[in-house]
Amino acid sequence: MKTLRSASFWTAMLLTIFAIAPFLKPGYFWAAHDARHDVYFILQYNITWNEGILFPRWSPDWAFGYGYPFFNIYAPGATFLGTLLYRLLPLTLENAVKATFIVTLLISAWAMWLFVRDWLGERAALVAAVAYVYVPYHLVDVYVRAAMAESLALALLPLSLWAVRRAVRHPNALNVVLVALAYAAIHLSSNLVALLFTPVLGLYLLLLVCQRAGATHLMRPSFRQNEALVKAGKRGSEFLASGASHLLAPAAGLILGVTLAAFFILPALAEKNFVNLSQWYGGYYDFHEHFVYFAQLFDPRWGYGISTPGPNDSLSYQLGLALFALAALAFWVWLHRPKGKTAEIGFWLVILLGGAWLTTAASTLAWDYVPMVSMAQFPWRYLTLAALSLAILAPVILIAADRATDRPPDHPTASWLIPLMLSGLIIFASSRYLNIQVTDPPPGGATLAGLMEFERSSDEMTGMTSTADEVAAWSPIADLHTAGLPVTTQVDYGLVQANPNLAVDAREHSVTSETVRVWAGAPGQRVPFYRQWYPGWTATLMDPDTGEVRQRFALTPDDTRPPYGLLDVPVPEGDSLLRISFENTPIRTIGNAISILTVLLLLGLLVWGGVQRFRRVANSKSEIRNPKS
Amino acid sequence: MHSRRKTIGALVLLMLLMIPAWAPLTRPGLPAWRPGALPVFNLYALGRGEGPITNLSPDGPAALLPAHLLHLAGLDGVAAIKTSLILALILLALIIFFWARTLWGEKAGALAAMLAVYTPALLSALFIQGALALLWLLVGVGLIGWSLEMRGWRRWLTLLAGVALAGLNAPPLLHSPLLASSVSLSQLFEPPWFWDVRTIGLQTPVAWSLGLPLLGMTIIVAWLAFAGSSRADDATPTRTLPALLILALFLLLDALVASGTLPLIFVLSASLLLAVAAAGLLALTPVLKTPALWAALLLLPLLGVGPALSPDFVSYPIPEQPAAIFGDQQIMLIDAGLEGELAPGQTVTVRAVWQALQPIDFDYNIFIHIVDDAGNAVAQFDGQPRKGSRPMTSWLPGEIISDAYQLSIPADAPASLHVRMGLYNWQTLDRLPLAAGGDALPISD
Repeated sequence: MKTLRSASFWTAMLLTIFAIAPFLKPGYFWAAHDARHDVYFILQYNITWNEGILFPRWSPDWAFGYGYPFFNIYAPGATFLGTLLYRLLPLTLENAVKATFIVTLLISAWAMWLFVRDWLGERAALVAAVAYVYVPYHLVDVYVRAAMAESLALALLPLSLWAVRRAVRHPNALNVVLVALAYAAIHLSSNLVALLFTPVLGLYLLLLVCQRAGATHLMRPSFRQNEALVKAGKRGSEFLASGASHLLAPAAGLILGVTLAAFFILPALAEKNFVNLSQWYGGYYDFHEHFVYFAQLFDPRWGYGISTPGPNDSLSYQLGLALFALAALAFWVWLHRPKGKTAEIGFWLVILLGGAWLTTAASTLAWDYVPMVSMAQFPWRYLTLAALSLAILAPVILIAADRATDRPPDHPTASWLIPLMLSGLIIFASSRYLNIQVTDPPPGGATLAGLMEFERSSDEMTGMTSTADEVAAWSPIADLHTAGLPVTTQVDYGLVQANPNLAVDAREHSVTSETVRVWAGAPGQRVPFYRQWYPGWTATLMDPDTGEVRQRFALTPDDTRPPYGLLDVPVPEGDSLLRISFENTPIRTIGNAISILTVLLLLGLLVWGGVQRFRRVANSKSEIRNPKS
Repeated sequence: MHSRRKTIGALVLLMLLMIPAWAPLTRPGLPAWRPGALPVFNLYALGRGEGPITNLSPDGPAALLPAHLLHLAGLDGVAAIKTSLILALILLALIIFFWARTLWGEKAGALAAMLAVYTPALLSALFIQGALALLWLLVGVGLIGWSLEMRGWRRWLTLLAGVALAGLNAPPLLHSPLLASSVSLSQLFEPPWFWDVRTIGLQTPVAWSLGLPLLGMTIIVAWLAFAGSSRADDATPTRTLPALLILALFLLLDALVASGTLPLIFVLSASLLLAVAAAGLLALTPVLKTPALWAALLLLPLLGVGPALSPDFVSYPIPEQPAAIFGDQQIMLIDAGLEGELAPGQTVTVRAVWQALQPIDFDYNIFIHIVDDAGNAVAQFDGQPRKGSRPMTSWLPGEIISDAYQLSIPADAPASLHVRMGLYNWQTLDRLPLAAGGDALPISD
């Protein structure tokens, strides 16, 4: 409520309009790097949602209809948000993507405003919120790369920082829940950003805890009064005890955040090796070819191309001249050791330097030998950290005091002029980049036919699982989609008809299952499907008349046929009903259970925290009424 | 007295703020500027104790001396040239800082340095015209200006250094046709230069604009100085400002009537004076020293510089000296080499890297002859550069053109073969002479 009453907050939200405006143009930026992916992600998500699956681990139309466990290994948050908007609002798929980006920009401003308000106050929060929306890398993410997942994750980073900060300062149940939700949201938005950001969040937490422990410890009477205790070495243990007590709530929140997202994190980690990872990391994705040149960090040129080897990428990697200058000014402020702020300013300066360093070839050793670093895939992804730091550092100059001239403004309106002016300069500095390239829709547009054409023409969204020997280039399912015909079965009838000992009659078909009646004239027969194998595919053999289950077994890599590793399900001799379905593996079940338990725990904490808060308020009211008691 | 801590703080800040100005010079290769590879060849020539390879270059030995020292310290020619430019830029910023600081304090010093360096005209002169000597001359002008605010022996020493730097660098600058131009009044005040997202290079017209921030602040300062400001925190600005402004105005008026290389020198010298004068805004309006307002002022020059911080770069290997210079300092063959086996029945490729030194008025043909010991041609190539797509009249001075030419050697050719290369007028068949003598350059020998 305090937020909603703040003029600074509404000003920050209003100032996002220049970043949002390009998305209000008619048409769609089809040529942006992931703009087509985004549309098809939502298209796929919506298809599975229509069948009642809210978290679709299996996406049926990847790889020309052979399917791919995309959202089992790729964080689904942004696509979920886009699909939600698509279903709730009267939007086309393209507009749903644009709406998602608008929402991420608004969340960015809101989250950064919250975080910096807690740290430096409302005037600074306004500048930081504007800076975070208009920092060039954020605009690259949104307008050029159309990276929906990364944009959402970027928006959520300050929310996590804010929650952790609150939990350290006010360790209570509600703040634990807040940390858990914010941290889980990042994991569910982008695996890569979560990976990049977690060490920073951890270090920031340690910094806050040390600051808090130090401050609390120094204020204790025992410390001030009994010097002997200090000399006896008690100081360190008291400091540690105090630190541990401040660490408890945020650390619990972070752990609960991970367990809340366990339904995604655990399978993503355990089952990622069952997809063809070379498609994600090899060739073009070799990070050695994508280091940012030092000059590029300061080069204001802008473009819509992709990352290429050498210094002439048309993709911009700039820090932003205005924000870089404000960061330099923050360093100048840091040199003056502002009271109570020095450590945090220093921290964000180090993160800025570290983030920028990791984008350049100077960090090759770290990329070569620290696996966690190289999982970012492209070095320039570390601009995420630089962008975050730049925005946080942007308003630091506002806290600098000059004895001779920095008098408090006489009029409240005057005190807002300076942050408004800085915000204006930041927007002005990025104004040249506020544009999307609207182009005509590609063949097929936002339909399954368009998806097939996209997969064929770009070799994108053609991910294969580990049983595939080669990447598919087309399929009979793709033929159906292209012709606009419904897919009623994914049995490979070409192979079935060539086998005199096999007859298959398709009965039921859905995105994650299929039921067929099978007659096998000899032992050792297999029913061929146009679906890629992946852990979770399960076969159930039933009596064709009664439906009684005869046998149920998980399909393994042995139950596939080359070259694409498609399902080849063994059936017994005779007549039977076969159902294949994509189901939970043990690790997915464990992940789901952990997440459900965490939800229950968080609900419990919420109730407990609410009751505690209610009691506190009630007590303080009664104290006001009866001061003597 | 200025506190040392404040000065160090402002200096550190200034050095950080200078990074975007010199960062482009850390790109591989050289800027796509008018002298092309000439500065590097002249540097190598200086190292050999020789004079410049052409008299077109605006850089005399004085301008190349710092680069020469860096080259002696182990940097290659390209890196030495670029590092010396970075040093000159930083030195210029420092001198303007100290000059303005002497007048109106540290914060004004930093603002003046920002205004001086982030002037579109200066960065365009650096990245498009590529005149090292110009930067060193401006350093000299800065020293002269600063010396006037000093006392005692320091004044005379600084003045001497300034005069020496300006004096040594001016003559080659004044004789270089690469910088020759004239300027009109509208160009000086061209407000946005280019407010779009582009890079600058040989195709880009040189900016004469002083930039909106510098012009804007100068106008405000002039108004405050001449209208009188009761808020000034000391009396100095009112004494010095008119002098700076009048001198700058005088230089700008000179620039309008001068031609050749003088307009550039006048405009950029005036920009230094205006930068120092404009920073007086902080002294005349002390409220602008409030850190946040000062920060906003520091941002303005960066934001008003347009695309001048995005120069095009070209990267190519530069040998110790050019392979040849054709005609009257018209065309330079930076490097030429042979790929493939020079033997009967084989196909060889001659690779060449060209540079136009001046505008070329005729589409010369390139000839490559493979000859036997007696000088009889056994294979030959005759044609326009890049298969006719880049005739020489389309070459811009400073532009680097890489090209390749294939020749097939007959199977019955003798075993001992040689390659000769040159240029000729296809109308008269007259060959363009080589500066070193002769009219054909041996390639395989």
